[in-house]
Amino acid sequence: MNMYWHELRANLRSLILWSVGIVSLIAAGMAKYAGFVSAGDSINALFAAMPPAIQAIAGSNRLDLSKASGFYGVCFLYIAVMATIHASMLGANSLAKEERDKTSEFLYTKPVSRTQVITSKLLAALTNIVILNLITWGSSLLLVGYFGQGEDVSRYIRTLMAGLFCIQLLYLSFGSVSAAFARKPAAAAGIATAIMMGTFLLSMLIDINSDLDVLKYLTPFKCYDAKLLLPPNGIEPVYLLLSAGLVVVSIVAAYLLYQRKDLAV
Amino acid sequence: MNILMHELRMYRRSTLTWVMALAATTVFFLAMFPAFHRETAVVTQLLGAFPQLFREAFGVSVDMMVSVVGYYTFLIGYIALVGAVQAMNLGTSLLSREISGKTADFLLTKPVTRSRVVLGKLLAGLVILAFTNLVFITVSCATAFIVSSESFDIKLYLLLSFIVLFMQLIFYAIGFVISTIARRIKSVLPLTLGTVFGFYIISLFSSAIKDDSLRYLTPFRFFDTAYIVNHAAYELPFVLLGLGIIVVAFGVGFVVYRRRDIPAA
Repeated sequence: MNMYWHELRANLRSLILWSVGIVSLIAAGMAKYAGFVSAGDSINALFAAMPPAIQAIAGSNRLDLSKASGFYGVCFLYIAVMATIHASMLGANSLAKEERDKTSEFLYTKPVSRTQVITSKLLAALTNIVILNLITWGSSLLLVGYFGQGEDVSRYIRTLMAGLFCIQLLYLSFGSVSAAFARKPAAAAGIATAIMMGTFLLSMLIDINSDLDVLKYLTPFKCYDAKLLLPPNGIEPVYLLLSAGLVVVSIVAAYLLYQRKDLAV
Repeated sequence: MNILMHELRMYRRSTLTWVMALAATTVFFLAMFPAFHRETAVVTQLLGAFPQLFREAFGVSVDMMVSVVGYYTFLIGYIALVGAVQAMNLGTSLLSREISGKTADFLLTKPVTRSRVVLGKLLAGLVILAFTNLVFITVSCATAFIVSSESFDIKLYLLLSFIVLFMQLIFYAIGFVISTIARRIKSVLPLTLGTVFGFYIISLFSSAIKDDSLRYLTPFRFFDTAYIVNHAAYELPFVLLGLGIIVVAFGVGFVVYRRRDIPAA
């Protein structure tokens, strides 16, 4: 329990910074919506007439920008990218920072097992992403409600936040497993970054070329795409199962690898 | 000279990794061109029906859009994103890793002035960036020749390619100045990713809603690809702004580092 609280305190500053970043992103986005909606009709008609490949590149396919929900859906990709960076860095650094800051000898000579250390650190990280998710949820509801001109988007936002949480969990566990896997502490964040950038760029590639559609299972950015989650659709069970499987496998791998890891001292 | 050579040796592996990542991104995206071409060719006719609106939205002619150069204008943003992460990571870590690795006392007690230390490191970074761009541009042009069945304007293609170098220099300078001002940077990647993606999200957002006032705020929109394609030149005010940022950041970094307090091990 001590370790849990210590971790929470250690991550507090970065959590505050990321929350401020996300809230200001939503605020700026929705404030723009108010000005945009009056001039938006012609642009939407234009977008609708364009071929999917070009729409994809312009970053606005099948989301109606004249509606608050569509506009928020466009913002969602950016929110997801930010939450992804937060979660992967958190996962990688929670475990790796003891070696990096040369405090691992101190920590691992304490009368606690490695399992206990990992568990407390992962729980603290989980708490962090839950808080970030709730802050995103709350501020989205408030800001979309304020700028949204009466459209009821709470259900859509709920679905999106569930998707966001899945993305966060996935990248948190990817980060943890890369920390357990990396030989050098500095490499942990590097591997996590490679996974993050790789999946992000892959989702862009799929947008450009529909022949690559089968690859969508490889990138969470496609599985939890804002336009797929528009009501009445929810999250597809396949993606949920796939994500749950990946999270479980990564976490178990992180535990197993970290148990026997040769700590860099 | 010793410092320069030492830094180049230290960054050999990470540079090779980044160069490969950048080249792979370029090749993968360019390899989608034939599919993109097929998809757009069918609707070029349809789009020709309202060229006026179209030009308003994109500022590029339809013919250009469906050529490899037009396709490249979309890709260059993604490539610049990867490049910017590399450059800022490099710029931030060059000086800060001495402090976080507790080797600053060793280095700074050597009979060299701080200015020479900074100069050696800065030059090493510039050499790395030059090498990166050399490989990137070669790979990019070669791939373009292979995937494009028609000939294309090589000057425009090179102008677009050099955006990556410019972007890298700007983020390199930003990273450098942050590393001289911040007292102690524990881990470089979260800082880098936060900053680069922050600017990237502002640029995506501002182009999605066509807000040009935000262009001055984010280096990712300093180089408007539509303008480059139409005028075969960069926009002078933004080039000057970019150069200004680079010069000021280098200057401030130098002055600050000469007198700053170095936390000893």
